Amino acid sequence: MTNSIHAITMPKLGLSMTEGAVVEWRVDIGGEVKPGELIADIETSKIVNELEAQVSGALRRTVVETGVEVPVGALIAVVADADVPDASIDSFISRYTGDDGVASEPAEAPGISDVPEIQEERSSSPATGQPSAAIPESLLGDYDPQAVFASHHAHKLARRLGINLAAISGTGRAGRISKTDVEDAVKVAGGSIAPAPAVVPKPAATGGPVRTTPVARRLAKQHGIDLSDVQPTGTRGRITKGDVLRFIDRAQPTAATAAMPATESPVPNPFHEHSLSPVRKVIADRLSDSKRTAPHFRLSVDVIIDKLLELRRDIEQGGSETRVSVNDMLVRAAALALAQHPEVNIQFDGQAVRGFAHADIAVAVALDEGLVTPIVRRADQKGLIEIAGELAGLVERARIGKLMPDEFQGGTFTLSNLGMFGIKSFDAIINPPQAAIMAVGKAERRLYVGEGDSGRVATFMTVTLSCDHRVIDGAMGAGFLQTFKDILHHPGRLLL
Amino acid sequence: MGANSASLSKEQVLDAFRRMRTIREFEDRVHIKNQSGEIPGFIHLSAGQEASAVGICMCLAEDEHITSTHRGHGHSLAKGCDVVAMMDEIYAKRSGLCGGKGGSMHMADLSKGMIGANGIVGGGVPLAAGAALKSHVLGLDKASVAFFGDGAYNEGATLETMNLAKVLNLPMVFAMENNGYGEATPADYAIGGDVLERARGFGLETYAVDGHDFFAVYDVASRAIQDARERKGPVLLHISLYRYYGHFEGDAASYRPEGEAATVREEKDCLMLFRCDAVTGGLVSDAELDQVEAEVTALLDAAVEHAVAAESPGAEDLLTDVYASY
Amino acid sequence: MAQKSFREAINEALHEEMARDDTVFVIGEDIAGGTGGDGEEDAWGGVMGVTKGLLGRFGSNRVIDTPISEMSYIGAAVGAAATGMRPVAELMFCDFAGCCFDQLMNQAAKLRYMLGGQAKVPLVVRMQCGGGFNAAAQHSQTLHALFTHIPGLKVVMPSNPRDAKGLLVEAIRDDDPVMFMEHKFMYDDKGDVPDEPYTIPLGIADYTRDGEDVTICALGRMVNLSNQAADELAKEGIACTVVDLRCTSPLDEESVLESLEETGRLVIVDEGYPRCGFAADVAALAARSGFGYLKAPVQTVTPPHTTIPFAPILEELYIPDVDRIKQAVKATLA
Repeated sequence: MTNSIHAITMPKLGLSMTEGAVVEWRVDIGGEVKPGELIADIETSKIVNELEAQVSGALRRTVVETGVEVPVGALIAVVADADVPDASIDSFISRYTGDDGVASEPAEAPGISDVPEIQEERSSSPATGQPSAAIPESLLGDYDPQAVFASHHAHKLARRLGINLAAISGTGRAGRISKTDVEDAVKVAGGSIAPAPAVVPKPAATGGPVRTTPVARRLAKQHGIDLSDVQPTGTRGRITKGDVLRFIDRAQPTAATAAMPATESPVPNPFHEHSLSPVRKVIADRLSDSKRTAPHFRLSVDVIIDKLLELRRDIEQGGSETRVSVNDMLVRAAALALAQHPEVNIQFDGQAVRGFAHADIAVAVALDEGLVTPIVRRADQKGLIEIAGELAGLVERARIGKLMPDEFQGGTFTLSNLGMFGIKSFDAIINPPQAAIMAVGKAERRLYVGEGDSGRVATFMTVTLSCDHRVIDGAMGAGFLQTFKDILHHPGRLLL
Repeated sequence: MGANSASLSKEQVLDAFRRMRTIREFEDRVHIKNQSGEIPGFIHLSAGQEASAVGICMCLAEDEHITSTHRGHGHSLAKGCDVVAMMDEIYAKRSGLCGGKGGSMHMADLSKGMIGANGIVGGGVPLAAGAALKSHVLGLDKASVAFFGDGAYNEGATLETMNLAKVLNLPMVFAMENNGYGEATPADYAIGGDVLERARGFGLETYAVDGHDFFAVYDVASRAIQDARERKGPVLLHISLYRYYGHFEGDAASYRPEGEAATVREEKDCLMLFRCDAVTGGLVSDAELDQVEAEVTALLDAAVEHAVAAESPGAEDLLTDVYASY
Repeated sequence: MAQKSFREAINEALHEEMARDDTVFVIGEDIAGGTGGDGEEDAWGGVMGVTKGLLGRFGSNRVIDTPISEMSYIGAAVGAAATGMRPVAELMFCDFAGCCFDQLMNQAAKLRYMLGGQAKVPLVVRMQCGGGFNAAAQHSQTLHALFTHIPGLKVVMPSNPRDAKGLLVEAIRDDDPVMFMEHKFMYDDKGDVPDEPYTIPLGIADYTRDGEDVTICALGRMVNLSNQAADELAKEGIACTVVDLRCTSPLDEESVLESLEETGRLVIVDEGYPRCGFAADVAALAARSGFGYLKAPVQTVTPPHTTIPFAPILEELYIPDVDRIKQAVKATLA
């Protein structure tokens, strides 16, 4: 009867995960589980995730304590039919783990096992995510995989969502059904399949399942909060404890505003009202936090960039395959200046200051749905071509919504350039936990007084640095800005 | 006039003249229209070579195949391709014989047994062997003819195919039209050894014939083709003739001695010889041939008019017919 | 199911198709071997014995030995196809395409388009490819890229006996010219092959391994090496999908991209030359249509851009092997 005993192992939730801990069992010992039902919450150094059952049976045994880290692939629990004797369960566990109760060979798992009867339990990788879906009834049902010509991934998606592929027609070669055909059919029939990993947190569908951390869930329950009202900021769109606390904080004023009578205008001005998109909400929250808590001061400087432009032309005519923009050069210049001024290359969370060895430069990119700041890591160690290539890739991925979280989270400094919109100069709001941001205006020909009081013309650009005065003083910011300007006036240094 | 041509009916004689006259008129029109810039692409004209094309194709049934060369208008018309559709093709129109995708060098109509003119010198010769191979495999009594020039006579494809045809005893005729020049280089210079001896070396039956004389060509071709059908072995015809225009349109043909073309036109023009033989022999009257000429002129007027007015292919045609299935 | 070798699978496909359709015939050098001589008839049955036994059943009018004269018989096969036959010509080694390339590139591939859709050219050219036999520079190449470059040609390279039979039957029934490439190292490979006729559509890939971490794309013998690499990597906890493309033209882009969407990591393994080759082509596909999926630079495992050496020690260095595939997979995870 060992065939009906199923090992539940520590899932690999991401390529870099090597160990994890059960933070909460979601089923009591003896409780029944079915495929798709939650068994436990798993926490790694990065995230908390849910482990769903893929088999049915009773949760007969949990093998690890909550909160104790075990390697990926280690046995954490056993699911079996209720009539399987305890002795069989015990022998199953001891064969699986050796007698000490902990899997000793992490390299063997997951997916590989010396115990032939064991059916491995694995949660799906977060790289693809578990698409949440609303499948119209007309498409639901079983089908014979042998009788339907579909791509591997179309079959896979259908299996996962219970879709009857026989009800869908294929547009591929020889009439094959592709994954896209399945997605289109669901859409046409009025259903939806949420796309896999989002760049930014997606709103939870009203009434639908909401992703939260266990702590946040408990907290919300205690305060009687509907989690679908809470704005998630956690990894992979999860509601964190902090999100719930923020919601509680704001509940009062929100209620007060709602109670205010609408003022009547003698001539009504028609308006359109819509709630903020999730991206917009995140931006709104973070920037108002920053503006409220970080005392900003600003420093402006004019830079002559004719030599810089000349260098760029030289690079272009040199036949480089990668196009180097002025912005790429500014990223490099800022990174070099930060390397000389580590006191500006910092993060501050209100408590502690973190100084960084390298400059990770975030670059503000305007998208239709809001602002994102992809990051050029270790820009001080990268050449112009490399920066240009990397930034182009980041911007492209940002545009198609495929930026990975680690590509836009973090950073030690931000560069925001509105020159292309003809903005002469502006000041920007610091992007916490960073402590400084640089705002770049347009390049323009200006008349200025040169040597010997003679009138001269050069190409100028105004750069404004916003600093968090809690951790950066005026002289520190000015010193950095001076170095930055120096580099731009001697752009050859960018090539060093 | 030999035994075979003597058996031609009056209708066949008039038909032969009509086909030859159509080729001449077609080539002359294309020559003029090309000079006026109306026609895109590379053009190779066969004016002067009509007797060979018509003399041979008159011997073939519609389901017997030929392959041709870059100078393929004459062979196409002789094998029965539609004049208007050919002119449309020359003008790169959707209603052209190949939908505007082939042009002058790729005239073809498989329903007429014309596998195609061919832009590659010698390229069509193995294809004609393929049509003969079909007869070989299925046991049919159909022959095929590969038209090629003196230039292709030095191509490996041609020589390999002569050998293959002999080894497999394929029912095919190698019609080598020697117009004296492979592009700009004289055939005498480029062909090492004797033309007929070479073919005999491969074990082929050989005939040499004056390509200006329709009746002589017909006599030899009908015999050669019948021999091939009866699996008596492949045959080489060495047909001596002359092209009136240059290698391609725009070629001043200065590699030819001055007056050479004019002399041939004056003394050996195949249409002139045909009229002379046919009328003297009492097969047809001058008036009947004049009538055919007038009809052909009217047909070509109509063809050019149609081609000029016809619709060009569109972007939707660019990607079609690369494959039969995708 | 019956275990059959790659050679037997192809032989069976030819038997079945020749019996089914009178217009199917085979032609090539030593396709029977011994025709016209006083010794044994059907002495060779093709240089690799693949066509052995066809002569006795179908006769010398349909199993045709030719002179060593590729331009003529490949060209004749093209002409026969254009006039209604379904020839299966054997080119012995794909390296010999050099001797008949005009007929493949300028005639077979172009007739249909050039003639405005009038013609169809249902031709199959079977040929050996691949190294590993110390056959040196002119008998070891894998020239699928050369053929794939030419619009109008279809290009097939099976990786196992079952696919070889199903794809060859399909290729014979297909109305376009198909270059059918058989890796010479695989003729004795055995696998399950159904006895009855069946077809595998051209341009439909197969996943021979299924994993969520890395996508490996390959063809022919390289699929087997990739499977081996995937199995070894699985023991290290790296799960690979191996996409056996089966054809380079038409190419099943969908199967590559769907897997790439899942894994975000791509390795392409190919025995052809790297420049303008299959690996570069699939990498370009990923860059063009799967850029947003990529989490790491695409890795290619190919020979260097050199001629194939004779010395066994050099040839071993030249041809992609399991270790190089594993390294490339790991490089996408670094």
